[in-house]
Amino acid sequence: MIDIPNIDANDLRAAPNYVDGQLSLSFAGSADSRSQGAIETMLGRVHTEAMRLGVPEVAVDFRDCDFVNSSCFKAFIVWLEQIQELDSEQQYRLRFFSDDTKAWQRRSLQALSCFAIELVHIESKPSRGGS
Amino acid sequence: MAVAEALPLSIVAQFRATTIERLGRIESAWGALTQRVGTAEGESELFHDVHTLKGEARLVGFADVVLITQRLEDLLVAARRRRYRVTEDVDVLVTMAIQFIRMLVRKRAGASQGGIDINGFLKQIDDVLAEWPRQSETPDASGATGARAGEGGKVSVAVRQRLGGAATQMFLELIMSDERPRLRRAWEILVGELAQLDAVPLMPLVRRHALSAKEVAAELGKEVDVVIEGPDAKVGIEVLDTIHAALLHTLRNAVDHGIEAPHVRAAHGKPRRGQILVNIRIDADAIVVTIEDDGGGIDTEALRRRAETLGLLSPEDASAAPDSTLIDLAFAPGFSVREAATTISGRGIGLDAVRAGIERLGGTISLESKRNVGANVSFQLPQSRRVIDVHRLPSTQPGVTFAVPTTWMVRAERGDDSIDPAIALGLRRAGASVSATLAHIVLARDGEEYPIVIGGSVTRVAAVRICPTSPDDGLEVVSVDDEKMLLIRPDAFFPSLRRSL
Repeated sequence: MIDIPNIDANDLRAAPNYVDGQLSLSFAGSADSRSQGAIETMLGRVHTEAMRLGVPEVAVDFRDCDFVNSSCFKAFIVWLEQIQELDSEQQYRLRFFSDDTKAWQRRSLQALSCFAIELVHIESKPSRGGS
Repeated sequence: MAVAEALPLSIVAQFRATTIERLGRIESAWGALTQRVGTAEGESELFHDVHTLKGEARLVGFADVVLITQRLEDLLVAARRRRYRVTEDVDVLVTMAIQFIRMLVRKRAGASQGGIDINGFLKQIDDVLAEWPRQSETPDASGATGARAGEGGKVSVAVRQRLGGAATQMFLELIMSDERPRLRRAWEILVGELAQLDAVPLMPLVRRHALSAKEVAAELGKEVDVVIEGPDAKVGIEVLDTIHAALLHTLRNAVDHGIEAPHVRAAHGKPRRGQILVNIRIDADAIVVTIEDDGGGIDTEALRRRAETLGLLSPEDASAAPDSTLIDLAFAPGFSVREAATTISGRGIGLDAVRAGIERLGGTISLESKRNVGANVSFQLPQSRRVIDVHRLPSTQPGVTFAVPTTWMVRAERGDDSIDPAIALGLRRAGASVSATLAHIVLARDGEEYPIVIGGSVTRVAAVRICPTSPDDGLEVVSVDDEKMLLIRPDAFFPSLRRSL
C-alpha cells in the first residue's frame, strides 16, 4: 500500500502505482500553474514513500503529458534536490519515460538530468497514444 | 568544487547568502516579465542582479557559477529582444538555470550530489540560443552586457551573419571548382576576417590576473614573479569568460598550493622567489595558454589515498595507478578540494568546472606535475568560433559532407519522396561517381519531417561554426578537425519538402 494521492484536475492527471516493488508515476495532460500545489504535494509524498519502501528507483512516465510549465517543473527539481541531500546509501534514482517527438520533453528532461546524471535516467519510448 | 580556498570562509558564506537572495529576486523578476506584469525598473534590476552575480562569483572563484550565469544572461538578453514572448520550454530552461546556480552555490565540498553535469547543462542552453533567430544586436540599456557590446559590437550580428552567408556561398563554389587555389585563398581570408570581427585583446586580461596572483602571494607571505610570454593575441569574445575562469583558478592555485613559502623553497635548494610562467601561443586554429610554476607540484601519494577514500579507485587500482591517472582525478567532479587541501598541497579547486567550460567550447586542458619541481597546466581553445553538436551525414557526392544540428532527430526510412541535398545544391558533377552506400533518412523535429537521401551512416560529432549564418539561412559551413561540412537547417533549406505530422 502506498499513501500518495492522485491528481485529476485542471487538465492534468497523475497517478501513482506500486507493483512488484516498483514505484511509478504516470502523468497525462498539461501541468500549468494551477497544478503546481498538487504536484508539489504529490512529489513530496512520493519522496516519503520511496524512502519508506526503500525502492532503488522511481519511474516517472511523461509520455502522455502534453506540457509541464516552469513552476511545475521546478517541483521536480526540488524533488531531485531532496534526493541529492540524502546520504548516498538512501538515494534512489529517477527514471523518466519520455516521448522524444515532444521537443519540450527532450529538452527539459535532458536539462534536468544535468543536475544529477547518476540519479536521473531518461528512457525514450513512443507515446502510448492516450492523453 | 569551485570555492576560493584562499578566501576567508566568512566571505564565501556571505556570497552564498547574498546569492540565494539574489536568485529569488531574479526568479521573481523573470516570472513577472514573462507574465507581462513586469516593469522597466524590474527588468533593469533583473539584469543588474544577474550581472552582479556573475561578477561576485568570479571574485570568490565559483567558476561553474560564472559559466552558468553567463549563459543565463545570454538567455535573458535573447528573451528581451523578443519582449519576453518566449516559448514554455525556454521558460523552463531559464527556471532550471536559476535552480542550477542555486544548487551550485549551496553545494558543499565532498557532498555526494549524484554527478552534476555542468557541460551538459551549458549545452542545453547553447542549443536553445543557437535555435533563436538573432534579429538585431540592440544596445543594452541596463549595461548588463555593456562589455560585450562594446568589445564585439563594432559590426552587428546581422552583418556578420550576412558575411557568413557569403562565405558559405563561396565555399559551395569552391567545392564545384575542384578547389581552385585562388578561390580557396579568398575563402580562407574571408573566414579569417569573420573570426577577427568577434575578437578582443587577451593580454589585458592576462596582465590583470598576473597582478592579482602577485597580490594573493603577498597576502600569503610568498614571493613570486609572474612572467607573461606571447603575442598580443585576440580571442573570440565567446571564449573570454572561459579563459578568465581558467586563469583565475590556475594562477591562484599555483600561488596558493604550488609555490612554497620562501623558507621552504630555500630548504629545497630553490630560489626564495618562485616563478610562474604564463605562455600564450597562437596556432592556426587555436589559442594555447600554458601556466607553469616551479613550486612543489602535486602530491600524488595523497591523491592516491584520497581517490581510495572517495571510492573513485579500488585499493588495488589506487595502488597500481600511474601518476598521470591520479593527476587526471583532479578534474573529476566531486573530487573534494576542500578536504584534499587539508592533506595535500594539491590542485583541483574548480578544475572540473574549468574543464567543462573549455570542453564545451571544443578545447582541451591538461595538467602535468613533478613533485618538488613544479606543475604545468595547459589549455587550448578554438579561436573565435562556436561549437555545435551535429549529426554528420555523408553525402552521395564523394568529397562532400553534410551535417544537421542534433536538435533534429534522425531515423532511417524507406521512401521514394526523399531529396538528395547534393543534387538540390547542384553539387553532383557530370560523370562523377556516386557513393555506393545510399541511405534514406528522415530529419524530424517538433512535428515536422524532412526525408532525404545520404551516402553513408550517420554519426554524432561536435563541429565548429566557422562562419555562422542566420538561423533563417538554410546553410552554413562547419568544421570538425580539418573536415569542412555543410550544415543544413532543414526547415529553411527544404521548406517545400516539409511533412507535418
